[in-house]
This record gives sequence, C-alpha cells and structure tokens, in this order.
Amino acid sequence: MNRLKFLWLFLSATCLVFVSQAQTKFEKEYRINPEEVPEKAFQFIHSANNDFSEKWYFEENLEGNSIEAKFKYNRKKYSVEFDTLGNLLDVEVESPFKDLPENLQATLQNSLQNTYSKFTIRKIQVQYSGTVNSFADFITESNQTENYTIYYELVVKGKKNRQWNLYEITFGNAGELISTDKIVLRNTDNLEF
Amino acid sequence: MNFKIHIIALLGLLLMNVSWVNAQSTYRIGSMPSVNVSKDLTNGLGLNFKTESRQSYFTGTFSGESSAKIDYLLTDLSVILSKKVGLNNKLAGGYLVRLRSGQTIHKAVQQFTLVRKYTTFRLAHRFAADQAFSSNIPTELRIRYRVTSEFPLNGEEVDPREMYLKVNNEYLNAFQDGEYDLEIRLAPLLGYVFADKNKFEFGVDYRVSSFLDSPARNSFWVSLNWYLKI
Repeated sequence: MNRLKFLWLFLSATCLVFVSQAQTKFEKEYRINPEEVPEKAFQFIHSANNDFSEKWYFEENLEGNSIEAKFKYNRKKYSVEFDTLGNLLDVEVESPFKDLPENLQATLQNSLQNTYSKFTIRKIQVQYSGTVNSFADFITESNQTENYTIYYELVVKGKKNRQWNLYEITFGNAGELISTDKIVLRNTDNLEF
Repeated sequence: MNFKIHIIALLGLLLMNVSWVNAQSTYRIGSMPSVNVSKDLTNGLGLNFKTESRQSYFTGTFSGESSAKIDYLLTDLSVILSKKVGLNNKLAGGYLVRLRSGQTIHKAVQQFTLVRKYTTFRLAHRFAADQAFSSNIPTELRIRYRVTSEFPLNGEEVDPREMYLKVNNEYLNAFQDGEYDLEIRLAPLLGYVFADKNKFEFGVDYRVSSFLDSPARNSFWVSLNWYLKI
C-alpha cells in the first residue's frame, strides 16, 4: 500500500511542472453594485422611469474596460454598454430572427448558406451605436432608428470543412458582412471527466 | 427550463433518500483526491489521464456503532481517448486500472458527453458504461448517466481568478453475477479557475448504494479535484 501512495503522490507532483505553462490572456467580467456605477450611466438607464431591475457588470480586458447594464423589458433582453466615465457606447437588444426585416432575413440566410454547409443561428443582437437622447423613447421604439448606426451581431453554430465551430458574425444595416470571429470555447474537462 | 426540472427532480430524490437511511444503514467518511490532465491532439482528438485515490477515516452504522481508522483504500489510474463530434460533444473510450491491496481490477470505459452553454450556466450530460474484470471477482457491467451543472459565482461566465459552483448528479446501474444494484451520487463542489487550463475543485461526493433490497450503504468523500490542460 505504501507503493500505491508513493505512485499517487509522484503522479500528482509531476503535474506541478505544467502549472507554470497556463495561458495568460486576461478577460474578466464581474457583477458590481449600483453604488459603484458612474452616476451618468445610472441616470441614463433610469431616465426611462422604469424599474428594470438591471444587473450591472464591470468588464476588464486588454482593449479597455467598460460597464454594462443588463435587463429584460417587454420580453426583450437589453444590454447597455458605457465607458468607465458613464458615457454611452452602445445599446444591444436580443431579437428573434423572425422579427428582423424580411429582406434582411433573406440576405443573412444567403450569406450564411454560402459560407457554411450547415448552420444554426443561436442568438441575434441588434446593436445601436450613436447618440441616444432619450432612453425612454428608445425602449418604447418610438424613435429607434433615427441617427443610429445599426449592426446585427449573430452567434452562429456553423459547419465548415467538416468541422463545427461557434462564430460571432457582424453584419451591417443592409446585411453586408462586416466581420467573422471564431468563438473560443472554454475548457470543459471538469464537466466531462 | 431543463435546469428547473432537474433541480425539482433532484430535491425529490433527496427527500426520498431520507427514507432509505435506517439504523442498519452503514456510512463511510473519507477523502478522494484526483488529478486530471488533458491534452488536445489533432483532428478533434484528445487524451485524458486521471489518477484518483481514496482514503477512509470513519466507518459505522446510523444506529451508533462507529470506528475511526485511517485506511488507504485504492488508487485508480486511467487513460481515455476522446473524439470531438459536433460543436462541444465528445465520444470517448479508454482503460482504467484500480489498484487495491491484494487486488488489481481492470476496467474498459466508454462515454459520450454533451456540453451546452446557456446564458448563466453550463450543463453537461454524460452517458457512460464500464466493464470491470478481475481474476478473483465476477465481471461487473455498469451503465451510467451523469448530469453536471456549472454556475459562475460572479458575472455570467466563469473567468480566470473566479469561483464557480458545480453540481454532479449521477446514476449507476450495476450488473454483476446476475445481481443488480443502483448507486446514486450527488456532489456539490466549489471550484476556482487559476486559468482556463488550470482549475481546482473542493466539495463533498455523497454516494448511496445497495438500498433496493438491503440496508443502504452511504459514503461521504471529501473530493479534491485538480484539472490541468497541457
């Protein structure tokens, strides 16, 4: 039995060699309290005079930090992003595919069919960038399209070269392809073994 | 919705388990540390090496009999080859050797895992089978299902230098020498991500078996798991 103990300890100790080779890319998101949110950002969200029960997050990455408010309103998921001073960066709204303009649906379908042998759209976010003078007007859709730059951000499960991957694809207002990024899936070893 | 149904079913199972515990039911308390090392190969293939040991500290019955004795019970060594099928699903097979005092058991292992990321948690289903062979005990076949949920404790994703809660719930159907037994396992674990390729988990792995036609055998293992990807 002592040999078993030694064997187990030896195998565990050799793993220490690999600890120093862990990856170093840094990206982090964590929940923050409303008291920690810049007043400007907080007032912007609450200018709509609704209690969204929003959750606030601080995002850190090498490109810069930002603050995000996430909430659900009228069955839609909103994500409002600010810089650390509370200046609005953009508003994203999740949307089902069928709610997109019909001609845009056809354009997106064609684009995806030309790229992937098989695909499934997992999520669509409509991103509005620009000056939002009235958040209350914005969320009630009374003045949503004026003066905004609109992008459509899709998360697509696509098959290419016999391999399935997850992609984040950005299209412009007319359905023109802006960018495609492969989403790096997190390690699942602790879920499989 | 899947998650809510799972939690309700689990709570129901736990409430039922209270009735399985009677004075003759036995218990064992011990520790179960493991080290899990994975390596990605080409073409969606991967290798996993795992070593796990078990130590017993207390045994007894719920009627009050108890014994405190430190026993080194076993060491498991396994190697599994997996192949990615689909986006985040894997088919795998491998070999495990169990080293016990005076006994060596060989196991063939097969498993299929489905992993899905939801907005605020990840869910994995594992369907597995293993066949155990030894020179002095009858061959045992086990068919297993495990569901695992992983919840970030901060934010919507588990980032490096953050903690998470993981809950494993497994059902093992064992067939040996014409006899059948069902083992149920429940393990809530707290995990910490040093980096995406380096995680540590700590928790309790509760197992109950032999409750269908005899006093239940309960075991509580302090589970310490280290996951490394090289």
